[in-house]
Amino acid sequence: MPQNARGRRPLFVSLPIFWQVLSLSLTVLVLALGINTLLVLKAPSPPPSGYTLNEVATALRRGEAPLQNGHRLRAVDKETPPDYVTHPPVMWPGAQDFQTLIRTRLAQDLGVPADTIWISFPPHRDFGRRASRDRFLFDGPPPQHGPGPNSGPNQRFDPSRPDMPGAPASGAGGGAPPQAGPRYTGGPRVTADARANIFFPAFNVTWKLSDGRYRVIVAPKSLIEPWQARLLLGFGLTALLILPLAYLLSQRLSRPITAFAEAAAKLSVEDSAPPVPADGPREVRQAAGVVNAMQTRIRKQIESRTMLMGAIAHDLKTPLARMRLRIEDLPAPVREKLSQDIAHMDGLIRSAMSFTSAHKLAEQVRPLDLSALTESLIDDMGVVCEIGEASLAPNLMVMGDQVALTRILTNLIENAGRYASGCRVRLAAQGDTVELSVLDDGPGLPEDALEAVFEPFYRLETSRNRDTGGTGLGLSVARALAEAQGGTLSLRNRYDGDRVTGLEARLSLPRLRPKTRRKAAAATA
Amino acid sequence: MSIAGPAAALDAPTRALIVDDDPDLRELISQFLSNNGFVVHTAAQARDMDKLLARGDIDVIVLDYMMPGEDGLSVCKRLNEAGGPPVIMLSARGEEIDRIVGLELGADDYMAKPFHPRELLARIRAVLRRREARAGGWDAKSPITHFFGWQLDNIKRTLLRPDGVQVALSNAEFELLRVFLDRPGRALSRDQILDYLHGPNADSFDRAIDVQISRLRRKLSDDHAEDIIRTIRGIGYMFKPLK
Repeated sequence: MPQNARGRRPLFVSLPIFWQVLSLSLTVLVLALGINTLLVLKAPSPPPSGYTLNEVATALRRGEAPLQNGHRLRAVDKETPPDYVTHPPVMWPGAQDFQTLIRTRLAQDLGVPADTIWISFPPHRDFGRRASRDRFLFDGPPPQHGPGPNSGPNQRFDPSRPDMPGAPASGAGGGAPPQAGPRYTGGPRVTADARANIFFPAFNVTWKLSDGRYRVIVAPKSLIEPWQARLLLGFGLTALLILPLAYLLSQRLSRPITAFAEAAAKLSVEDSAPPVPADGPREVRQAAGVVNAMQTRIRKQIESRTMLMGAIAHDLKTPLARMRLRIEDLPAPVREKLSQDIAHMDGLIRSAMSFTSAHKLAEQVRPLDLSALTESLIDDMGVVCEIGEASLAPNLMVMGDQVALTRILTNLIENAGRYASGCRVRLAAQGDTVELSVLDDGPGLPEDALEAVFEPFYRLETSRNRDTGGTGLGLSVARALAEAQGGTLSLRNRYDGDRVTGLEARLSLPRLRPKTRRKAAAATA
Repeated sequence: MSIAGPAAALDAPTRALIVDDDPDLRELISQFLSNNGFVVHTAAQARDMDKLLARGDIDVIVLDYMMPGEDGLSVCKRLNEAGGPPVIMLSARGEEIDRIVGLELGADDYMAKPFHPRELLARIRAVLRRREARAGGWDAKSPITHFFGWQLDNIKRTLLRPDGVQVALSNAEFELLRVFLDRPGRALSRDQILDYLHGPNADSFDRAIDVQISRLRRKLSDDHAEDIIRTIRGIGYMFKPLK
């Protein structure tokens, strides 16, 4: 059967945690890499981040122009020129060539002299030397010196030809350095068509209009470049796909452990709790096996302890019974003393037995009328012990065991009779609990003893306790019984100002509401 | 010590059978009961007991709970089914639950060791008296008495309300309810009730009975308007006739 059960278990869940975590990590890694690789290889390339010269020219002419990446390029008219017009920044040589090229061509497009155009590159953009040569300009044959016969269509683009219209002869903005000139002269592939498809990184342009004003295009500042956006999209997509997967798998991983913890927690409380299910990853199954074995051992130990107690009790009680019969013929004073000793030993044995068997109680609780029980008990105990006027709320129901509750109350009332020569009993409902208090006017207890007296065989003063005949188990038994019925038992001193006026033993039990009576009756029927 | 033997009240001496595996205890009980007017037989285990029972004149059995071979509970059950003599069970297990199990299996009484010898004597007498009374009518051994939807557990001495809630009874209330339940539909005077409770020679106060009865009535109060115990003016009380 276990073999079958194991066969039916989902494979992943029964794998060791080690492999589960490892495979989860690997899956996540592969997925993340895969998604991004796919994105890089298969997705359409992102829209260009810069603009073409045609677009710039259009913008300068009309005030604005639509860009291919969906934005609009706007030009603004100003009275004063930007800084780079009046104070041209120092540039690296490649950039100057580049600048000159752009100026010349823009001037051609607009049909104005090149010295009315100024170009500036925003800082931190990729206008390095390499960029200016490799990426943006030429992939054609090596440049040729001088105008070739086939360079006709190219002529008007040549920025280094002083005879060209709009050529930067006087070199506004730095002019073309001599060594750069030859490089561009022979770019035969740079045609008007090509110009439309060459994207330059965003740059600033100022055009001095004929009326003395300046039309300025400021390079749009975008927070992230399209390629960065593409990368971030990849991350987002990865997270979106992996998160639910990781969540599900982690949950599956933790579920058996949680279930294990819950089952293990029950073990310590209930004696009859089922064993921890051996489900889930191998480690959890191993732990469950260990815990179950431990539980079996503990149970056996409790059983053998109970059996031992029973055996001791039996073997002690028979001799006690014999003694009790043997002393019948003794003179009365001796007989009475011995009889008391026997009764004391008997009480001790009984208390020890109830203490060891208190945990069995929880199985036999049933709805009962605590008010009636308390009243009857006070009635019966009134002969033995002084019980003052009681205030008992009627018809308070609890789930409990009559024998156990009688035992608790008897112990408390006997204690009060022993140390305070009498008590009062109060029974009242406090919300969802029923509180049963036994109040006495005795000396109370030192604060640090209020909890300690519940320890088995705890004694305040050995001599005093012996005189009064306690077994040292009464309160321990009472508390064990109270807890077995889902209640609590505590002691507190009663004060009048700073003076201790007595002790209160309070038993709290969950209240059974009258409306659930029918259901409870049906359950027990 | 002036304990009158039962022989004084009965025609023939009462024969008691003591079944216990502990020879000393057997001997001690035997001696004690002999001193108090019983004719005593002893047996160490169930087999010996059966031989003695075959004589047919045993009036009461004092039975140990734990014995080698067939144990006390099983013996008790067997005797009860065969309608044998009343059984008082002695047990080293003093737990209330053991007592209840013993009584439910048909023991007439149950005593935990160590017991007071004179208490054993009193219980034996009570059991014999009850057996006498039973010859006249109510079967004292029935563990549960039903009336008007209520249940009285004669062993645990508790009431079960029609809605299933357990209601505890004090000893006095239980005895009182038993008196009424044995005589439903009869008007009982206070004196009669006291006689039934404590025997003819006891002297208790009238008023105590009234208090007990009013408490018992309160516990028996139900949604039904009609009282189960009615006051009969000038006489005493009457338990509602059972249908």
